[in-house]
Amino acid sequence: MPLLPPMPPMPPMPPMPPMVEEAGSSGGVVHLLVAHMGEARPLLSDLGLRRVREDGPFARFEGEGVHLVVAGQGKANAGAGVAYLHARSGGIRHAAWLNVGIAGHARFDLGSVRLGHKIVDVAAGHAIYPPLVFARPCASTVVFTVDRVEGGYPEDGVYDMEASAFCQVATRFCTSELVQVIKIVADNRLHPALRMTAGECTQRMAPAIEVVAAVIHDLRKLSAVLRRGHADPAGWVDLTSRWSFSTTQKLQLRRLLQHWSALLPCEDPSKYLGSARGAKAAMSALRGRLDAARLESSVVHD
Amino acid sequence: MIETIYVEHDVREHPRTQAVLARYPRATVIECDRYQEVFNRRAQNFRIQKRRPGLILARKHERRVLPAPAGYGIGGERNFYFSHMYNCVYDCQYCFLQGMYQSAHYVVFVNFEDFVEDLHAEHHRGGGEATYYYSGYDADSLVFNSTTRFLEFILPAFEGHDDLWLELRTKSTAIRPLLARRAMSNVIVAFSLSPSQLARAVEHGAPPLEARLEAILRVAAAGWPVGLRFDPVIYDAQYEQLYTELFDQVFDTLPGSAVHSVSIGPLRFPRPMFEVIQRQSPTSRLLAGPLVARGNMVSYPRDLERRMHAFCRDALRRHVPEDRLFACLPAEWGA
Repeated sequence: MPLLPPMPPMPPMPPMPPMVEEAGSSGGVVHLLVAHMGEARPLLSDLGLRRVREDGPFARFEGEGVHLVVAGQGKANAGAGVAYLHARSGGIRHAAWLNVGIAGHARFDLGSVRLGHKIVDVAAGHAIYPPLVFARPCASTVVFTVDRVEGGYPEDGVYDMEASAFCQVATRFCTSELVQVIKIVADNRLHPALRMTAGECTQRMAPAIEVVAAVIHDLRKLSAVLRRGHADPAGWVDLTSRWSFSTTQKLQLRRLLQHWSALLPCEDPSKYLGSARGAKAAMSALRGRLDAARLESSVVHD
Repeated sequence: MIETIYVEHDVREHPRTQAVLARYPRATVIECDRYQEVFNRRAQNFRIQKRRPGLILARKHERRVLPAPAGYGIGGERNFYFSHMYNCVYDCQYCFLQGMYQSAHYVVFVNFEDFVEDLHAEHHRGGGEATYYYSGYDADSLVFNSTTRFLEFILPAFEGHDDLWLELRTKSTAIRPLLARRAMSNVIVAFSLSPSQLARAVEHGAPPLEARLEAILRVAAAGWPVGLRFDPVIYDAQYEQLYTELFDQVFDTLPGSAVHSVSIGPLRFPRPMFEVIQRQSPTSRLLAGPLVARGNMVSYPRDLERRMHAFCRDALRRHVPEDRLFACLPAEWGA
């Protein structure tokens, strides 16, 4: 967990194409948060991320299904970086979050990679347990998030300065299974935390990128599962563009169309609308067909 | 396969904890202060966790023995349930657990001795009246026993107490611990059964009907009282045919005289849990069925439910004596 010099100003970048992953799409999305540019660089090149040109307190990058923010060191920056990335990337629902960064450990070899299975906020004295619901490409450990550089490594775990705040804020935006932390050991008792250049940081990170990419891949898949499950059901766009539905009616319509997808997957709901002239009549017409289907159907899929 | 085991600091050195950890030597062990730090926290997703649940070893401090829900029973007046485990290895679409907990981790409480103490204390409070205890409300009673060894501990506690009854509710075929000991007349091994086509569609991970029937036969042959639980009875356009075939298949295998008790219960969900389950599985054919809100519950419409119940009851009467047949209904719905 070495101290890094302040981030140098970013060179100007060419204008960016539109985001590849739109908020409405049901593909998986992963948001990455790093503290320093030195941590970001190997990810940018491996994942093909490009800088977003915008006025803002943080550097932001994006590519296919992956967004990244360089938040700066410490808990406050990490929390602010999560909120910034969430807002600036369109508030995408069910996006996964991954904090990638360097950390220190008493004995682990430099370059060792560890997922965080318990994130301890040392100052506050509380812990978060990210559920590890994907195949782990590396071992996991406790991550101790400290407010000042810890060179003594008193506990058996890696020491960082962002993970606890990252998890606390990111779980405001998605379920905790999709909020993970992965750390690369950059200092230990033999190689203490001294000022490290961004280049040295990149060097430490680079060999771990394959493992990090595997975690990103799995998180994208989980994000996609959740996003598909909450995608608009068939017929939704058609019906809501034809008529104006109240908020309550929209909830009822969504449930109705979901049941329609379950029981009448081969039937087009629009064929049952008849001469319906409004939202209420349309739902009534659909409900009539669906109620009959509920009694005619089998729980066993045909 | 358990890859992650969370252990409460308080039970880290407990012999049962050590035994479980020895069973999973490759699992990552993570210490926590209380299991609630890990289990059922805000912002957890049952369905996502169910893909790779962890195991939590903890101590149950209170509320170890609780009154069974009204209408739950097999003839006794004093009915209680206890849960040495939360969550189930199986993934049945109708299971209320997926709506009750946000977490799919398995929680095992290792302080079995405290459970037994409370079971006996509750029995004494009844002044000698027969007391029925139900295991399998929050978890299958048998399927995880190779890890917990709970049966090996709990069964001796019921030995020699004729007015103390235990029901082990299960879909599992892991009956070896029962076959390994002398049968007990006050311990009912109750198997949940559904028509095989429905079981395949909605009881994910559970043994097929044929395997359960084989297990029932072996348990009955060993002298254990066997219960049959047709609960929940699931609506299907072909339900009469499906349940007729099921009952025929069961009683062709097992004589009705060998059955201790049979209960029938309708598909039902507490309303708040149904909302959660439906959000998690929005295109489930089971949940899209003819279900309606009835008070605080969601179930089939009263008339349909009565028709299904009467059909099953009449069909079962042909196989088992009336006095062994029980309805498992919320009390306010009546039989």
